[in-house]
Amino acid sequence: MPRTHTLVQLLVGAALTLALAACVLLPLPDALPAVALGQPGLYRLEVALSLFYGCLLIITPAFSGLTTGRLPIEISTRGAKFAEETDQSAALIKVRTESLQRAANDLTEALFAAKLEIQRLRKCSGGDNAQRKVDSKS
Amino acid sequence: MARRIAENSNVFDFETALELVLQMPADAEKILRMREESAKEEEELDRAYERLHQAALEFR
Repeated sequence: MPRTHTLVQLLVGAALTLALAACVLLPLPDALPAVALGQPGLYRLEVALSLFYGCLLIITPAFSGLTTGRLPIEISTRGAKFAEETDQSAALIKVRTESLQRAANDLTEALFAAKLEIQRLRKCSGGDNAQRKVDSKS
Repeated sequence: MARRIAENSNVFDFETALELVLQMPADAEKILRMREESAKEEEELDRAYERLHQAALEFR
């Protein structure tokens, strides 16, 4: 696992180096594209960004496909998502939902138990529902 | 009914359940209905999870 980690670091480092090198060394075209808004600096930055993310998009599935034989089901700005992770998340959600439902049921039952207790106390006090005045001694 | 309420309950034992059935029968029924609904929802959740699990296995 640490070897894989190092390999990932190396590949990301290589992608970053390639992007930065392209950013500095790429010759500017005579007519800059519209997305560069006529600014060479912005053009270079966009080239670096697209190269870096392009490399990541290629490296991620290629790397996991070659090393583990699995392809991600989703690649987003937060990284790659694999099928078994989704499966684990679903299992976790299932467990949490069940425990929440149990807690909700227990709370509802406790509410009924409290209602029963209140009724019992009312009966014990002789069904006296007349409200006493505030500061009443009796 | 009291036995059914006391079964698998963290709140009611048989005596309190019996008291509830005698004093507040409508509420006792509500508890049983709530449990039935929960059980149905749990089954649905199980089925949904199983479908998702199968889909994940097939994808792999």
